[in-house]
Amino acid sequence: MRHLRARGVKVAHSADEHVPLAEVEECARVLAAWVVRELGPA
Amino acid sequence: MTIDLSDAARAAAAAVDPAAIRDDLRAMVRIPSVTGREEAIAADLARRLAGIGMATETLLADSAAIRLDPAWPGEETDRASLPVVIGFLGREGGRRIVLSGHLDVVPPGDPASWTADPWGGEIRDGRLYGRGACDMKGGVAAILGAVRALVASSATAGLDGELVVALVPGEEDGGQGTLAAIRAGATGDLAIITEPSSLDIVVAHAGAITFRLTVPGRAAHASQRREGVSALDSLFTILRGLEADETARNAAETDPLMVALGLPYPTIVGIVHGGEWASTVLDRVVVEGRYGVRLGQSPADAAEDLRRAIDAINASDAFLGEHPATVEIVGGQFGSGRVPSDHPLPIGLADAAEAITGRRPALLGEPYGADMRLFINEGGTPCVIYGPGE
Repeated sequence: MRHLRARGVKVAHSADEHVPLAEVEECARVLAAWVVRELGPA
Repeated sequence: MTIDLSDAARAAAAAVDPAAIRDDLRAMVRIPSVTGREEAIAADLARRLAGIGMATETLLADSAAIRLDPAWPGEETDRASLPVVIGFLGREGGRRIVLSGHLDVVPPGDPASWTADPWGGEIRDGRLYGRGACDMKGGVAAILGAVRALVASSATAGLDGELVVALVPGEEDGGQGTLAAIRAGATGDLAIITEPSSLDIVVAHAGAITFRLTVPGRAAHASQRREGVSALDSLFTILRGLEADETARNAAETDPLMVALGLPYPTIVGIVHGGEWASTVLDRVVVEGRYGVRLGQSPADAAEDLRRAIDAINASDAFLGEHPATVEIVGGQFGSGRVPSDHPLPIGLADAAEAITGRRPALLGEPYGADMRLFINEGGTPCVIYGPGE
């Protein structure tokens, strides 16, 4: 597991706040897999 | 190392619909939801969750009752209601996991400083622009995208437990929306908040309290300034003392994730009020600022640290010794939170991320307050932050 220095808050609360759509999609894929992994098959 | 991930988990990940995520996010950004005014977006999200197939409840939490809660984190804006949207998917009675995000955003500031409409949801070069796009409607859209994928891939039928989605107001001014959700039972075995973390995993965060300092001086006519004592001189004495206090508090930290931040617990003054006449020695300055809450501390512990520091500064100065500066704690109060780096939550999430994306997320500490500490400290639910955006 890497322990890296945090990169700081640059975009949140700023003018021209934005989010990369690819990151939103990647997050959704990981969350979906994680939910299935944690709750497991019946 | 090869990560073991079931076919069902991989199928759920593959079922994510990018077009639906983009549409959800753009629609959310187009609903202004500055802290204290979250009713419209809460109603929209309740409709979206129900449309996906979640059993959905909207709790109109009692603002007066929540203010009496011993863990009430304060507030910095007026509000008429505290709408909390909760969705349920899967089977009651087994394990329970929570995905959570806040629906409020900070004001957009000067529109002239934007190159896009803050409430427009414009897409440029693969990025969606707007107030809250990053903090944190992008994370909420990711939750919606995950739930859609679970339903579309038929993974829901195989869940041996329950997924709870908690979408809350009032994070930006303290976190009372999450506290209300927790008190309503939106807790579980594990929780993820999809605040922006650039898809790394935040396992530790500092907190912060807001303080108001009233610093005395002694008025005199400018022509006789030596007869007076400028409150500005007293303020400089206090600022130097607070700087030394900040150095000592940060030097005492031993958690490697917080040490790596360099200055995990900053003290700043962000507002200064004083003076009524240009040629009168200032007899009073009132300042407001932010004081860090260390890992393991409650906001009350940090307030005690601050009071002790101010008392010591007062005692060290001839004028302040007789005319002490006074401190009040005001506004939002953010505690700190920590999940062990080897806890099954960050390990399992990192495993899932590595299996899906090929990149293992870093585990991080952050210097700012977040609702994560409320799930941990008040909800008894281990919680980390993992979300899109910086």
